[in-house]
Amino acid sequence: MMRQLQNIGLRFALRGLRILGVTDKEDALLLSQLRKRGSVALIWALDETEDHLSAGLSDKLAKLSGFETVVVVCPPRLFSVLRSQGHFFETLPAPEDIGRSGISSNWELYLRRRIARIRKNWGPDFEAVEGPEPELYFDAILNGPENSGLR
Amino acid sequence: MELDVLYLADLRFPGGTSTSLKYDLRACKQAGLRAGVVPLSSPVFARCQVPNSALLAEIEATGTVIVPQDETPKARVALLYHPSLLDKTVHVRAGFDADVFYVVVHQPTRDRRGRAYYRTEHWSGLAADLFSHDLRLLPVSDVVRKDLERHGFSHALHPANWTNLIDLEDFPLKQIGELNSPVRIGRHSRPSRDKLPSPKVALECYPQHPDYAHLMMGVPQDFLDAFDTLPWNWQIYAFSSRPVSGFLQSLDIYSYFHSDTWVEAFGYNVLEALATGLPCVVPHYMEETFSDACLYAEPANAQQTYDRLRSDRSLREEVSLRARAHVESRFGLDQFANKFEKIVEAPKTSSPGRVKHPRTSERPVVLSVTSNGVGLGHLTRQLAIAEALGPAVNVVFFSLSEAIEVARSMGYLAEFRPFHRRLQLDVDDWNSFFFQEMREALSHYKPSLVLFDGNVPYAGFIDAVDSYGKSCSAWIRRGMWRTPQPDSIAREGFFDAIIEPGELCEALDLGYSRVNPDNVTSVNPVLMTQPHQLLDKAAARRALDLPENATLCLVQLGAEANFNMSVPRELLFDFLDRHPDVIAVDVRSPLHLKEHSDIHERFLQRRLFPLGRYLKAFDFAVCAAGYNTFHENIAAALPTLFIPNSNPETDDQDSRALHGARAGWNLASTAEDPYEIETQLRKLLEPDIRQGLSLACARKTGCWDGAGQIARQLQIQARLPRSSQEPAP
Repeated sequence: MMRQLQNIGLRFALRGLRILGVTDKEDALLLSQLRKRGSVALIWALDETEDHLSAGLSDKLAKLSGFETVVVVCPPRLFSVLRSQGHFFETLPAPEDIGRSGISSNWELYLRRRIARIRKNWGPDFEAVEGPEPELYFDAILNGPENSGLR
Repeated sequence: MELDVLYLADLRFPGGTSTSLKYDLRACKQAGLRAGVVPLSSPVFARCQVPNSALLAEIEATGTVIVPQDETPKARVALLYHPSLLDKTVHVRAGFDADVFYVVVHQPTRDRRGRAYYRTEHWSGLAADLFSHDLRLLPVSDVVRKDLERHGFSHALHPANWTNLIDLEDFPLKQIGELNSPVRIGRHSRPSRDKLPSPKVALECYPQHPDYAHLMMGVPQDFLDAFDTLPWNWQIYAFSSRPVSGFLQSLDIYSYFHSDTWVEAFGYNVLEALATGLPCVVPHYMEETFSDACLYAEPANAQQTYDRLRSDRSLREEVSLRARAHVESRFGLDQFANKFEKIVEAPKTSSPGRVKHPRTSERPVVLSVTSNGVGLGHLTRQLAIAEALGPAVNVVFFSLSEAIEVARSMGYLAEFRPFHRRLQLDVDDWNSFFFQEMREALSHYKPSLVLFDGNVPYAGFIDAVDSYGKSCSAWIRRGMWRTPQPDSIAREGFFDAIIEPGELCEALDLGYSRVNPDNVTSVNPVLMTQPHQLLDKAAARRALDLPENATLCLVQLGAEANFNMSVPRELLFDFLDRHPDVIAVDVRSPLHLKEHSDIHERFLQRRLFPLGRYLKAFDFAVCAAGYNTFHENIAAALPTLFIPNSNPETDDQDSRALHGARAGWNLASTAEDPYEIETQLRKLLEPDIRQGLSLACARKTGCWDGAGQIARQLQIQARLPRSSQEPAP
């Protein structure tokens, strides 16, 4: 359903979502009752490297401005600017931070479950990705044999 | 890790048990033996009961090893250092490998009415199951030995006692001379009802008589409440309100009687009095422990003994010398090697049932959970503690603060979870979310210690830590609460330690955070930057790219998210207009979005965290009176006008600013009073006033190491390794 949305146009899809109420947000713990009635977009922007929003992310935010709730999963240095624009945010530990920490518990399981919980807690009607998909971003940890020490 | 003696001990006993352990550690070191401690929690105390501070200090002073949580130490002797620790709730996580294991029995099993002090029916099974050894008992005295024999434990008793020791150097000999009137008779004990006789008996052994004054340190209020009026010749002192040695020096005679039901296992308080050379008058049964060193009497006859001592100087001298000599010969620190040799046994091969826990090479994790707050206060204090814990542990931040990047940028792994307020969530729903996230993080990171910095421990946090059940937990919370917070106080029992960062203005603290003072450890103020780490003025100005010769005013009026500082800001701009030699510098964290830079041509903005090292760059400051800014500016002797954020949700910044002004450390004004702000700003331009404020601040020395104190306590309580480059205490 979410992938189809990308193809048929956001505005049309949004209108459709509102009419049909297709996304079940019952389990979306981070949405107030009011926000559950609106539309939610989730953007994965894990590889943002600058102190400001990249052009790609800014563009995505502009395109998704019709959503009542926009959540960006990104490095925490972007929180202030996202907050100033009225967006919500989440973050995941960056691969280099994980490596530097030397904590070698089951990162594969932790990150996989965390990514799933972010989706569940926000109940997005639409997902976008700026940069790599989260699973690809953590590929070295989730799949790479060279990082087996971190798994 | 190889040790001679491994003490499996609860460090929270307030009285003789901790004092005897303190001197055991000292004696062990003097004997050239290596001691280690595994802190355990006896079920007799509330979980958050504060540790014994004198014992913690001795651990520091002797360099006694605190065995890290994942370490399985090898020891010649392991001592479970109180019978209440032989309990189903107590175990040593990574185990230990000892040639021989004993339970040191500091208390008889029952009082004189037959009521059990602790449960003994499963002792043998618990020793075998939880400690992998047969039950073997070391009583601290013959009083305890006979009680154990009477109650069926003869088979487990070692022939030797584990006698308490004392360092005579801590108790100088009291010179016996002529007595003044009234004769000063004293006693001290922890303030337990059992430690005092009934009021009727107390009036017999501590009689109202013009020849005698009775000094009592450590008396419970319910005992005092039993009297309509206290006897006129009794002087009452709070427990530990004076150093014991000094208290004993002030006495002529020591007299210790207790309730009919209590049985004194040893009588460490009497040992201290004997070491001081005081004539001691005590109940007859204590002769088993102190033989001819004391004078023995029934309470009703105690006054006759006092009379004899008062009228006979040679008796006093003889008894005094006998007391001191008895302690020297039987209880001096040099007795340690002897008592150790009596219980040590030939090394054994590890028993097959003993599980060896392989030690992981990873540093133990400390999970630092901070509430969101308005500014950076909670996060800043936790960063200071993380730095003080040093690289021997792996601190991971798990924060509700949107400024978590500051922790990440300092090299810490940092996680963020959204708080309910901005999301306008139902608090219960958010707690469900936070429980889920915390519980997952706990299972993943497996922290040895969970720190919480915030005013209210969230239900989701508490439930998750409780459900995980494998971490020590500590609540770090500053004081100066504006109102009572019973819901917060009710959550104290979920923590192993509650530590309050020190407050220079504690005299104005209304005490709402200290409803249960036995639960709260106080330390010095917590700073990110110690005064000796400050850059000098020129270097700080260069680092901040500020002019070398201008008059610079630091501005930190807070996030202004919950309080309007527009009046002080407007006045500050007027002030800049009228004083062209002054440049104001607004310093905020790098995460704060830049505002318009054309507010005023001499109102500069800098983005920096932490600011502490650069405070010498400024000639004076205008700041809100948040905990961190207040203490950092005073530690840096920076003349400051504090304008408190008076939002009721914050700590009592008004009192902080007011007290500082009264003490001469700073100037103060409310945010709503333009006339006062204007007056105080003008004062800051006068060099003499600035110098006076600086000098007053500079007199506050030696009190800024709160973060280090917290780290040291947590290293002991949570059994964390120490970092090699950690500064000496």
